[in-house]
Amino acid sequence: MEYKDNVRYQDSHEWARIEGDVAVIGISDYAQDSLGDVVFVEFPDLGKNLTKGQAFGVVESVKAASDVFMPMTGEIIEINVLLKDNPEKINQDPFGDGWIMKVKISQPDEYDTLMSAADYQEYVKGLD
Amino acid sequence: MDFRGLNESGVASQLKTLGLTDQRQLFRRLPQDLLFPSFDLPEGTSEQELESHFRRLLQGMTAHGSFPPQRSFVGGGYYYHYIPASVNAIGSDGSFSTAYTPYQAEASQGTLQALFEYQTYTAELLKMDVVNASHYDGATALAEAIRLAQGVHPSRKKVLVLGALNPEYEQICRTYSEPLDVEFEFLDDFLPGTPTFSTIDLALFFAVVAVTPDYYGRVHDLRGISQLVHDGGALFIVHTDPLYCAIFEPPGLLGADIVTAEGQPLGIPVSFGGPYLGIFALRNSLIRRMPGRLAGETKDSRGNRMFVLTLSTREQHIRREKAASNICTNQGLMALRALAYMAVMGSPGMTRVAQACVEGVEYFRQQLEKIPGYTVPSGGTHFRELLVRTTKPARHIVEALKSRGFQGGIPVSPQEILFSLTEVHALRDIDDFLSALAEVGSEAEPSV
Repeated sequence: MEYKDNVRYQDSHEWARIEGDVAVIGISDYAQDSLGDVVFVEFPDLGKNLTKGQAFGVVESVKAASDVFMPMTGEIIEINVLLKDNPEKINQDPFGDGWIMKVKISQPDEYDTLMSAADYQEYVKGLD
Repeated sequence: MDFRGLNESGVASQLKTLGLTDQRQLFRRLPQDLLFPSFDLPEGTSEQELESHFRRLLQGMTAHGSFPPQRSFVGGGYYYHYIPASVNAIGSDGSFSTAYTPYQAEASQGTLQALFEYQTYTAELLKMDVVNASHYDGATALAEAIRLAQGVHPSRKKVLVLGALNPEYEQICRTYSEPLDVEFEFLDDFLPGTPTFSTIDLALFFAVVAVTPDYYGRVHDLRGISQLVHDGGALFIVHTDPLYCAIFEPPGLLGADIVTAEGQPLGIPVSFGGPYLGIFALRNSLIRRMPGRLAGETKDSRGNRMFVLTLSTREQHIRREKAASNICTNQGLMALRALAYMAVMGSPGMTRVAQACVEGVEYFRQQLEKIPGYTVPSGGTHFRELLVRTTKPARHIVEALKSRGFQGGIPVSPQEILFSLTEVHALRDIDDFLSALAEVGSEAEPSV
């Protein structure tokens, strides 16, 4: 199980990585492993403004369909179109090619409220 | 043990063993008037002709208050069609008819294959990408289509209905969409370019529902409608009839996003309001919003063709309150009958039935217009139904027809009756009915 430390996590297992005023968002290695083979990702509309904690889409696996939640507030500016035909990228490379979308963040301070890799690993340990 | 029929050589060898020369010698000692009569049947008779021949012999022996199909001219959404005996045989096969919904779905390969084939046949008929494994009936299928479309455009609250919708359907659609605050608007004359249609701002509507054939049997030309609807950003829903699609352009070729229909005409008998069959079809792009179950084809671990329930993540046992629909009622056994009907009739058979539904109404209209007291308000092609204006009160006419042995249409207003004709009405049945209508029209009204 990988806990990348160039991203920060929230308790519903999404991660965010800051690139200037943009946050790249995906789901953690732990999340993809628990879901099983991902078969479909439902994306939000481009240009939509969502606040931290709001559901932005659905990640569907052979076992379940789970809502995914905004780790940071902002406007959806890009989605990972690669996932439309290759949703398994989320399983293969959750922190790389398996990113879900990019958000233009309006509350950069929210990043500090997210968990570090070490804290998230502790948190996940408590779930099992 | 299986039943084995006799052939000529079998009969001959049995008679030889018994020392007889003719089968009738076996029944020599029985009173001759009790023996099975000879029916003098013509050669090359179709199943349907044979059945109606025997039904005619039985006339006067139907249960009190019931009418044989050829003496009933009541439709209004549910119709008498000839049902081949093989549909009843397949539909009553115990391995289908005694099983409840398969909870361990993949253990019931026969049921899944039947549902998969039903979906495939129906998709081909409607020319749509996907058909689900059925809803409760046509009205609930349409209500689900409206809910689905509203979910695509959550900010829009209006739906526009083109053509006359069955009033029962309207009530059901309103009930389903009441918590969504959906507003219904109705437009009867909807040819593109007519002032009424072009004055409507389609950007306010999440969907346009076109009904063809409509409640009054009118066949509406939908060419050009989908373009206008899509330009307004709305979804285009077509509510139609499966037999109609055998001869008229199917909605899939007319740009429909969602198609719904009542499947009862496909081999399902009319029976006190059900069970019937809700047909539901849509374009691939909407598949994850589709309510209802879906059987899919795949391969097992050994590479053999097999069937599964697929895309179940739309459904309530997985998505809970976010499911596409929380109504899981479907009609597996009725879908099987529809499949059997389509398979047995084939495209040529269904085409002939559908043609009879147009030609019968057209003949009836032409003859009726010669009879004083009746007028037909709408021109154009009709399918199965005809709305007729009467100078006498509609209820009086229907009552008077009943006393003449006819179930004579639905009085839809004080002076309008909706009549229905299908292939079960032979020319002479229609002529008999027209004579009764002429008598009823000319006799003095009872004093009230």
